[in-house]
Amino acid sequence: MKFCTVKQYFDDENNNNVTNGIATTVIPLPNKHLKIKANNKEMEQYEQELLRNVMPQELTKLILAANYLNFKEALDFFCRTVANAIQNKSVDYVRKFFGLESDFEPGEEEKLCKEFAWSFEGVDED
Amino acid sequence: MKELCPQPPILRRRNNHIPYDIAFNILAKLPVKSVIRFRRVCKSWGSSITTPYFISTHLNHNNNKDCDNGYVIHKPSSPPTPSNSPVCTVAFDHTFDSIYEVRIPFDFSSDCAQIVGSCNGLLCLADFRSLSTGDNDIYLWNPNIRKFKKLPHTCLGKVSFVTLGFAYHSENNDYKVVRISCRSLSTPKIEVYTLSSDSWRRVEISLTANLIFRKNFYSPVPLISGSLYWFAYIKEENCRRVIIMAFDVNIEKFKKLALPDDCFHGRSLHRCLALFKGKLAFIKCGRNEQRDFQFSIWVMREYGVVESWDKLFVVPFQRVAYCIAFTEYGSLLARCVTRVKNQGSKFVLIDTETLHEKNPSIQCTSFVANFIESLVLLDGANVEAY
Repeated sequence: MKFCTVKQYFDDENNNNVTNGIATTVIPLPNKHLKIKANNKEMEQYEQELLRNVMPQELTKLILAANYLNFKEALDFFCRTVANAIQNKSVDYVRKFFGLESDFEPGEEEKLCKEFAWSFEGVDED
Repeated sequence: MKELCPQPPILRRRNNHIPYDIAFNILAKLPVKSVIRFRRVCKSWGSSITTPYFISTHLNHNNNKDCDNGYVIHKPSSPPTPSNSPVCTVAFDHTFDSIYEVRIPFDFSSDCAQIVGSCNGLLCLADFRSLSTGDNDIYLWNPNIRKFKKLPHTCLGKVSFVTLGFAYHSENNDYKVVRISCRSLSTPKIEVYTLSSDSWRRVEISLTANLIFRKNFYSPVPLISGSLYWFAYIKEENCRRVIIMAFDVNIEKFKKLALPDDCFHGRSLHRCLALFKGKLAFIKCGRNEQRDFQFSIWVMREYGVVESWDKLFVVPFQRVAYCIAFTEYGSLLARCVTRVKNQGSKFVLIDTETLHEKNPSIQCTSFVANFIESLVLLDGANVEAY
């Protein structure tokens, strides 16, 4: 089932997002998973190795590809990786990453800042 | 079932940003501090994060995440000195190595505040002003989101010889505190507080007058498969018989359970009940028939079935000791009784599977409970922040 989706993905003209690089990352994952499914540590190491040189912005493309291919394990893994990458980042960094804008009323955001001031300690510089 | 909030505004309408439902998935994998901070990203994130659905999703992720590493939270039983503010310490449950401390943000009128229970990252703390009389100050507190709530006063009128239990009511996704008040020569009185109603309600249960409830000395009353477990004594003509009373938090009824048949051999110094890998554990500290001191641990393999008591561990010990805590993982924290004057108690941590002993960093009598990081109470009403 996964392979049918892959073929359709490449045939679909609108999806220029999937570059060869991403195809080589995402597509071998199902086989690798099957081979070392029993050993979580090995899988973790393989996955760390795979993403060591990937920039956070590239992860967005990987997530979109895994989502389109309906590949749940990869999607879950990429989400965990993004979570680890952004957990100490600032609100502005996260907005840029997800392509979001603040839509709060003027006083609302300040209120949140004050109420949870402690959650802004120890945040990475942008 | 999934509560989808409206799509947040995006900078440009393109297909190359992470869609909202996947962003939700990512948020659920973040530590609590980050989730709280990212409430500020945009309105829909802010409102999604405080929904019961998101709080449960985040909690489930934390529950499944690290099977190898559980946490405990502990609080010294002795009053804080003027130079130390009262704190709780979060530690690894295998080793009791400390990870971080959290300052208790509210005051108790007495110094005997204890951890009543811990469910899904929400703690229940109470003070027992006097063992025999008086209402208790009870607080629900999530130290990871810095929110707490003080419970209203009892609806029972006069209370005495109180024991408390704290439970998560899974059928309603709610939290309950159970108070049992025992006065001699009268039937025990029971009341239940629910977080959703923020009020106490008396529960009429027919119990005999010769039934006296007792709690574990330091460990919280354990919650297993939706029931809270207490020891109780039935006062018969010439003796007292010890049994277990299980309170089903959903139907709010008690069930009597017998202790393991073979636990009455030898002398018993101290007994407690605990949660061990999802099952009820009974720990007896005492001498065996050869007069050697040991900890014996039975586990009830099948929920509510007395015949399924299984003696899982026997931990021989050179010294007489009390069980201060028995964690979900199986670490036993013991306080050794010493006969030497002016020498403080010694605490030892024993891994019941390997029998490996270690001197933990915790060296004072403490209340210990299992602990997890969560957002529970974030959506609570009448909750204070600090």
